[in-house]
Amino acid sequence: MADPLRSVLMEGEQLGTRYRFLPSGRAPLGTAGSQLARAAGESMEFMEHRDYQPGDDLRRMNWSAFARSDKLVVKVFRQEVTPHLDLVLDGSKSMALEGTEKLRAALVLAAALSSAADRSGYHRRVSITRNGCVPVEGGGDRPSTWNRLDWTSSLNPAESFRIRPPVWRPHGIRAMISDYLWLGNPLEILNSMADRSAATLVIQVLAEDDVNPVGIGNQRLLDSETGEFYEVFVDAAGLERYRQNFQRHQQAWRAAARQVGATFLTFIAEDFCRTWDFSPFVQSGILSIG
Amino acid sequence: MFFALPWMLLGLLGLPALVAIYWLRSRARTKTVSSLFLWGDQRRSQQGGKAFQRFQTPLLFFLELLAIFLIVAAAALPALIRSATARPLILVLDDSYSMQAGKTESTRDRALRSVEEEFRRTDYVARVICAGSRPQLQSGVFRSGDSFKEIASQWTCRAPLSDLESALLLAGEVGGETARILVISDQAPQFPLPAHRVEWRSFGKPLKNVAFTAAGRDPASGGTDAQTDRVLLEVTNFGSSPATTELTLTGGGEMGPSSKRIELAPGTASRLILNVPSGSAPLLARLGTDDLAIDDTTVLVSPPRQLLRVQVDLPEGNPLRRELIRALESTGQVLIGEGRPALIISDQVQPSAGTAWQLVIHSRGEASSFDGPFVMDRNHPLTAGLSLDAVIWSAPDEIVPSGIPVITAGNRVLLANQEDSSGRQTLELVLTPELSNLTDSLDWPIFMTNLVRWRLEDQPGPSRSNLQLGQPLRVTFPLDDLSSEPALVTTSDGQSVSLPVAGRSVEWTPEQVGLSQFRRGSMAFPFACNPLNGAESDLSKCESGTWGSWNASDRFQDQRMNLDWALILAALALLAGHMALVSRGGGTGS
Repeated sequence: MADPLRSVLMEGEQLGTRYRFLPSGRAPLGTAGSQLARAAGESMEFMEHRDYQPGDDLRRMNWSAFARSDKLVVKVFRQEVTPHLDLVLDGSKSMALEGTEKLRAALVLAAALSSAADRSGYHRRVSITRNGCVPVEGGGDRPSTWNRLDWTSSLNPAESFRIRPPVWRPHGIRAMISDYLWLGNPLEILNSMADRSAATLVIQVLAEDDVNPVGIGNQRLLDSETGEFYEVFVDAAGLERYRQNFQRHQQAWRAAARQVGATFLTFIAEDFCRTWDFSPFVQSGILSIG
Repeated sequence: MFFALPWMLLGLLGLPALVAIYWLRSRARTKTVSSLFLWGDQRRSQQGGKAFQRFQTPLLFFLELLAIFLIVAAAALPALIRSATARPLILVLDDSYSMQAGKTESTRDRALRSVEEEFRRTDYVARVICAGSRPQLQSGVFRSGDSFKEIASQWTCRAPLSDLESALLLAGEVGGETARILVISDQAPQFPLPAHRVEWRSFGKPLKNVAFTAAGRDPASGGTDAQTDRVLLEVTNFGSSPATTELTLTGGGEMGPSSKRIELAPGTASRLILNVPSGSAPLLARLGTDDLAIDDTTVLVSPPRQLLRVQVDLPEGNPLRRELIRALESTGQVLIGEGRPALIISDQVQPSAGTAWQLVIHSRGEASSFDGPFVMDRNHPLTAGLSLDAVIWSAPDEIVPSGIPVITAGNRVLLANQEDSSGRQTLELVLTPELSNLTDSLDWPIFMTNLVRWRLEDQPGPSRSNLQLGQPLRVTFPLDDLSSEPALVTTSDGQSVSLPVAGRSVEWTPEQVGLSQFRRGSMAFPFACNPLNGAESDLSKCESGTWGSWNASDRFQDQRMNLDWALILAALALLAGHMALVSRGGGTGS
C-alpha cells in the first residue's frame, strides 16, 4: 500500500487511541466475555434480584429468599460479553474522488474506530467492498498494518453486497464508511447491517463538492465509478436543483437508518480533515473520551 | 438612413466580445463527480460535435446582443432624411487630370459611382462646381434620379490643377447657409474645412507614375542662320521604387523614330536635350504605359522664328550703347540695325517712329544717385524677375519721364511707360550710366530680355507655340487687320472652337492636350498643349478617405428625423426583459 495511505492510517490510529467504545445497551446474552454487559447474563457478578418468571433457570432461584418471604425470586447476574466490531469500507472509486479529502477522511475514521475498538477490548473485522465484500488483509491487526487497500471498484456497496455480503457476527457493532451516493433502496443494505446487531453505524463521508457543488456553465460531468458522462449546462438554478436532489437522497438514508435503529453520521471530508472532530460519535453515545 | 456620429459604431466591437465571453463560458469543462444520478435533471448540452457546434446561445445572450447593438446604434445618432425635403447640395468636383489615374478604373470613375450612390440614397437638389485652375459653376440643377451622364460630361478632369479652396469659397457663396457641400477629390484636404458643413471624400490611391514634367522647343540661338530647334524633355519618376521606361520619339523632321531606355531612381528626374530641324514636323515623345496616361505623351511643335528688329540711335561714344547692344544680343532674339525697326532705343522721343516702340534713355544733366528702395509695378511685363538689389541708380535731376511710372525711387520716377491709341508703347528711362552700376548688375540683361519679349509678344502671331496645360494662348494680329472674323481652333480630338475677335488679339486657354491648329484668315499655325505639371503627376500622395461631416450639424436638424430615442427605448425594454429573466433564473433556453 502506498506510504501516504499508511501514514493516514497511522494518523487515524493515533486519533483513535483517545476514545473507547461505550458498552451497547442492546448487547444480548451470550457466552462469557471480557466485558460486563448492561444486560443480565451468566457471569459470577451479581447484579440484582427479580421476580421469577416462567422459563427462568431454576438454578438461579434464591431459595433462601423464598424461605423468608414465600416469594419466588431469582438472582440475576451481569452478563459477560466479548464485543465485536464489523467495519466495512466502501471501496468504490467515488471514495477516492480526485480533488477531495474523502479517502483521507474515510481512512482516518476507519483507523480511529478500529483503534478505539482495540482499546475497548473489541474483536473486530474490517472488510472492503470490491467485487463483493472481502476482508482487508491484516484487518484484525493494527490499522497501520492493513494491506491491499484500494479504491478501484466500479460497483457501489449495494452491488457488492449482492455479490458477496459481509459476514456479520451476531450481536456485534456494525459500521460502514461510505458516501452512500448511489441510487437504490437504502434498506437493502441497512436491513442487512442492522439484523441481529448490537449497534449499527452508518457513517457517511462526503466531499464539500458533493454537498455544495460550484461552477456554472457547460460542464462535462464524469461519473467517477462508471466513466459515464453528461454534458450539461449548469446555471444557478441547476445547482439549486442538485442541492435539492442531494437533500432528498440524504433524507431517505436518514429515514431508513432511523427505521432500522441505526445511527447515521455525516462527515464533510474537508472539514473533518481540518478539525479531526469525533464529537458526533461521542454525542451519539458510540464513543467516549478516555 | 445615416449616422451623425458614425465612429460610435466602433462600439459594435462589443458584439464579438460578448460572443467570445459566451463561447468561453459555454466550453464544457470536465468535472469528475461521485455519482451522476443527482445531476440527472440538468439541461443537457448537445452531445458530441466540435466546440463551436456546442456554442450555447441562451435567450439572455440574444437579448444582450441586441441590447448592445441598439445602444451602439443609438450612440451613433441614426437619423432618417425627411422624404418630403430635398436637401440642397453643392457638389465640388476635383477637375484636375490626376483624377484620371488608374488603369482599369480611374479615380474619377470610383468617385462618380460614389456620388451616384449618394444621390440614390438621399434626395438632393445639387449644383456642380468643377474645381480646375479656376472654379467653374456648371449650369443646371441636378436632382436625385436625374441621369448622371450630364454630370459626367461636364466633369472632364483635364485641368492642370484644382483650386479646391477657391471652389469651396464659391460653393459657400452659391449654396448659402443651408446647403451641404460635398467635395470629391483624390487627395486629403490641405486646409481646414468649415465645420459641419463640408464633407470631403477622397478616392485616390497612391500609385507609381513616370511623367513628363518639363518640355520645350525653342529656336537655337545664333540668329536667322541657325536652322535648328533646341528641345528639352524632362522625365520624372514619382514612385518610391526605381523605374525603367521607354522613351519613344517620332516626328521632328529628318530624325526618324527612335527610342531610349530611361532608368530613374525614386523621386529623380532625367533631362534630355536634343536638336531637331527648325520648322520640321511636331515632335511626339511617348513614355511607357503606367497608371496615368495623360502625362506620358508630349507634343512639341516648331515655334515660328521671330526676331525683333532693333534700332539703337545712340551716339557711338555713348557708354550706354555698348551695354545695350551686348544685352540685346544676349537674348538671341534681336536683329540690330536691319531697317524697319520694331523697337527704337534713343536718347530722345522720335515722333515719326511709325509702329515701332521707343525706349528713350535720358542721361544728360546733373544727376542724383539712388540706392533704393526701388518701387516697381510688379504687374508690368518689364519688371518680371527684377530685384534691383545693390543697384545704384543715378538719374538726371531735371528730367521727369512722362507716362505711368514703372520703377521709382521714392517719388522720383526712373522708368515710365506710355501707350498711344494704336497700342504703341513709349518707355522713358532716366539713367546716368557713368554714375550708376545698373548696367553691370544682373538686372540689366533681365530688363532687356523683358523688353524684347514684351515687344515680340505684340508682334503678329502666337505668344508661344508650346503651351503648358492651363496656360493661355494669346494670338496677336497685324495692326492693319481690322477684320472681325472669328478665329477657329481645331483641337487634338477634332473639335472646333470658334473664338470671337475684338481688337488686335485673342486669348484662349486650351483644355485639351495634344496638337491643335489655329486659323484666322491667312494666319494659320499649329500649337501644342502638354500637361507638364509635376504636382498633378505625383500620385504618391493620393489617398482615400472621408473628412468632415455635415450630419452632426444642428444646421440641418430640420431636414432629418432622429431615431436614437426609439433605439434607446427598445434597448431599455430589452434590458428590463433581461432583468426579469435573470431574476426568475430562466433565460437559459436556446
